[in-house]
Amino acid sequence: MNQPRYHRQTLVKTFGEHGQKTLQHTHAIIIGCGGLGSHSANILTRMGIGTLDLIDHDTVDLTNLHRTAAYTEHDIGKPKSETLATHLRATNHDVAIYDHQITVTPDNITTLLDDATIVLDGTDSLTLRRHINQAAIDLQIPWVYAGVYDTCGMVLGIIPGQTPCFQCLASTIPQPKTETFPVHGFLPGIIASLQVVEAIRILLKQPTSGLLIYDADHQRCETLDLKRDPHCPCCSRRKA
Amino acid sequence: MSHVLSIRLYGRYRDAAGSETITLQLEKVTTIQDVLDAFIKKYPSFAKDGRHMMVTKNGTLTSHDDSLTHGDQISIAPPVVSGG
Repeated sequence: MNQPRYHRQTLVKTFGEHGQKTLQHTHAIIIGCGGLGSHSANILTRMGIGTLDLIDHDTVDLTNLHRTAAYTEHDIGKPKSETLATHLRATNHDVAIYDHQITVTPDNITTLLDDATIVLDGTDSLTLRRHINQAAIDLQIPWVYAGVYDTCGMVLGIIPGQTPCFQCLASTIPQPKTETFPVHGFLPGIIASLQVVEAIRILLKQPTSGLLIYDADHQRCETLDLKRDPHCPCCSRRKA
Repeated sequence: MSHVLSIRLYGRYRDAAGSETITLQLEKVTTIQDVLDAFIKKYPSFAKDGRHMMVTKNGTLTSHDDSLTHGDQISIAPPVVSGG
């Protein structure tokens, strides 16, 4: 391990050498390399995650640049996953980074997530999140939902069999009216940071936080404590 | 006989109310939807959130047609966001 690089964070009592070793042995998969995914990948790479898989079918667009990490004007038109991976490999050569320019479908998601220690959500699709949720429950892999809209963001750490799952929330989720959603440039960085905190908490076996609701207009973060829905059609089918 | 319920609010609902909790006066208290109808009547600008409002009963996410009993702790939060 490259000790000087991580020295400051190993001084954090609730993380320490144990946290660093845990992170080093973690295989995280980030689905979606846009606003959320590029920031969470950047943070995890700098912190010294062991292995990182970056998945995104899309290419960098000018409209991505106000809220993403790493991409430049020179990257417009290039694959997001490959471009982000190239940037992050130069950031930290300790991390094994693999990029996949593919579309995640119900047919390939189980194979894609099979070796993961944890999955981080960087998508902007409710349908895809439902697929992630189902695969994570089937494979018993924790994942961290994150979403942004306008000035509001939400994060939920999901541990199959222990916490509410995404399907527990599903009936409350509106289908987006348009693909062009409003979002502040600073918001994905904040929410991705909260998402990484939740991922680290899960990896270190610390309690999950419940549903975090961040409101940038009022600089406020609230936690909505949730219990599992014993009748959830998705997560209640499996025993803890 | 009308009923008075104390409701905990989150996010922009709290901002609109200017308070963490509000009280709602209802003519009947049968389901969560009765509570939401009273909430929307008081704050009509949130009517568009309608069926997507997130509601917990005693800490558990619940459907809008779930029943209510005396003493249930209800909270209402805006819909889950989905952008990335």
